[in-house]
Amino acid sequence: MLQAIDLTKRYEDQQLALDALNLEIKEGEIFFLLGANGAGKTTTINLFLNFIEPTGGKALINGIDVTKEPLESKKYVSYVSENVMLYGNFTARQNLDFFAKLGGKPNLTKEDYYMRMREVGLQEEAFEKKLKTFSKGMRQKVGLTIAIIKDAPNILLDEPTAGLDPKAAAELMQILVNLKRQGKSILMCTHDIFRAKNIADRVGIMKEGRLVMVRTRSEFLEDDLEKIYMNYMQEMVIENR
Amino acid sequence: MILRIATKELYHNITTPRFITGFVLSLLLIPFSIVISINEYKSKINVFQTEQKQADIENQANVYSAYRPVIVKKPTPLSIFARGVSYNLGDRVKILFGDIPMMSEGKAESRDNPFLNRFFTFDFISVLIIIISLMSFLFTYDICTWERETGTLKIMLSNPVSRASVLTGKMLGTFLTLLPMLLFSYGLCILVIMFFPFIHFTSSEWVRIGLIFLLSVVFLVLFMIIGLFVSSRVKHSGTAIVICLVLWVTFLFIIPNLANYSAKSFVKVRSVENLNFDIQEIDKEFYMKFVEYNQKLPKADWNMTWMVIGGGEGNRIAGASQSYFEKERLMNIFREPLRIDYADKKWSIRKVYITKLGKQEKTAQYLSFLSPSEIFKKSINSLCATGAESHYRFLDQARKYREDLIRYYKENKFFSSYLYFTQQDPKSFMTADEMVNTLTNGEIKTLADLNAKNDPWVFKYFKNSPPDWDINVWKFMDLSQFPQFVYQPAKVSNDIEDSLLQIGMLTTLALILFYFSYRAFIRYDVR
Repeated sequence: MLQAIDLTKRYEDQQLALDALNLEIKEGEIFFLLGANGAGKTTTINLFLNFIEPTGGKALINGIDVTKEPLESKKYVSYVSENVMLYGNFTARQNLDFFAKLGGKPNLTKEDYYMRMREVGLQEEAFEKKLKTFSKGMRQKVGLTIAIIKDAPNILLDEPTAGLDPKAAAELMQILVNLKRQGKSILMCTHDIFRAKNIADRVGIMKEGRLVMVRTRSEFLEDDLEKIYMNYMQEMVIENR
Repeated sequence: MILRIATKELYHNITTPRFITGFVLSLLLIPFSIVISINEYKSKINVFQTEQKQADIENQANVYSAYRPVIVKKPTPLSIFARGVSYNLGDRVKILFGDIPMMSEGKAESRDNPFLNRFFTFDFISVLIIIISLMSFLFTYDICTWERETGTLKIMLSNPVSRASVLTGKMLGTFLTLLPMLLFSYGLCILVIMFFPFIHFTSSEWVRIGLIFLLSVVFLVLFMIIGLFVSSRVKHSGTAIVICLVLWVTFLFIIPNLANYSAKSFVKVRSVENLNFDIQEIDKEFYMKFVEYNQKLPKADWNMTWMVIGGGEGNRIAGASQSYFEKERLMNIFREPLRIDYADKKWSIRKVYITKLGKQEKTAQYLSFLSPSEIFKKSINSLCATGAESHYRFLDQARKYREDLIRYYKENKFFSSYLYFTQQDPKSFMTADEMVNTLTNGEIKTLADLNAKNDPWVFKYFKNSPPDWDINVWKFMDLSQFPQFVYQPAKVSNDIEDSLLQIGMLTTLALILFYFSYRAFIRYDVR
């Protein structure tokens, strides 16, 4: 379970990146955080991963305060970044092996890695190939495998579909649905409103560091999510003028 | 966890072209520099052997005044590693009573300060500094930035692993990547040296080589930390590489050069010509004094000498009258202590000059300490006994030896001895008339008779001379009881003591930079 309680981040230049965010993502739930660039989506993820310190409130992973016990909290979270580069001189399996061990899975075998890679749709011939020969989509799948292999109850994804072709993005969404079925709490930051409509249980829209709207699946299917989102975006453009 | 990250880092590093570049650079430059250094050492040894042979000849004496030993310092084989200033300076000193050695012969009378290091020397340490510093920078400039740019740092830190472990692991992995390069360079160096059987290292020199290696490891770590420091302070690898390259050029080329130029500007040293002019004035004063004294002495009955070999400090005289010998003896009793006094006078001027040169060298050294590579080079020169200190030490010992020798002469009253200038037995000394009688086989009885001939070419009347009037047949003296010069090189412990300041500086700098890098990495913006 992921929880943000009055989570606030103000940078040294006094820019308010996140303003008292309150959020709870339950087990087996996919939460999509939508918003324009600079709305505070990535800041939220960075705070959950303790990459930056909050200036107020707290972020909890499975009830553990990430600021007080960062290492403990990270046992319960996996992360997929926007642009997965990984180690180009390592094979896919070597990359998995390194990160699996860091994630606390030291005893996995080659077969375990192969199995996971098959699950995300990687072709067998790619397993022992160096990552620098991979396409962005394939690297993203390896990144996702790293997150899956950790088998953490919470998964944070920061715009994982950016730059992916529609097929690869659809495959990724399917994987997330499977993970949700396993009871994982998933928080995904994205601009991809269409994917949100497809698989999200709840959707939140962020604007200038504030979570301005949260809709459940039934709510946003009823209201037109695209329209709501565009309205918020338009408001922001007018305000900025 | 640290080992896991270190292993990853090591594997990642060795699969990059820069790793191969490092080895290729070492493979190309190290043997090349070593062969050059060995050839220089060989020619230095040849010069030493020739000078030593000459010194052995010069150091034979048949009268006390002729014994003005030449001492030659043997070049150290460690100069193959670091030539320091040893090749700017000569290794030969002639011990004179009339001059306190200021510098060894060779480059001594040059206008430049020979204690200042050259802009660049192509020896093992100089090449190693280039390779190690460059490789350290190439492997660390992006130690933080690359993982940030590729996003792997975020993935790594999304796991239960502390930033301290990540940093330590990465540094350890990089160290394990660079250490083989350092070992390879030293191995290659020793291997090339083994092909030259005339090079022998004593056990003490092996200890020094071991210490040089350990210092190289400290140097490697320091440059790694500087690279890390830069990487932890910037966001982009491009910025980091530019900063590292600027630092590299500054440390290795700009600072040493600027230090020498600045030292010359800050500490002005008079010209050698100017110094020599003052010295000549003192020499003139000395000459005038003993000429004046000479005039006060009773005149000899005959100013003829059968054979005189001059030069240096005092003449060797054979076949003179008893009064001439006595006058010479009285002259020596006055002149030799006066010569020593005037040597002290000249030294007071030379000391100021040499102190200024030393001050200039120290200023250059302290200014160059802005560069870690110069600190490193300085300690290596100390360990190789090729730095200015080693030369100062040699000259100090030469000066001390001169004092010992003078004391020995004074204690044994050599200046008042006839053997100071002649091997003729005083019992065989003759009056002028006796000499004329002997030389002409009794044909002319007295000096007055000879003078009466009014012939400028009196030698045509001389038919006979005693054998001990031929200086060339005089036997060399047994000098085994005389003080002998034995150069005492600094002990390893002394050199370590001398290097302690530099080692301390390198280590402190490394620790400070690591502390700041650590702090920066703990707060490093991984986004």
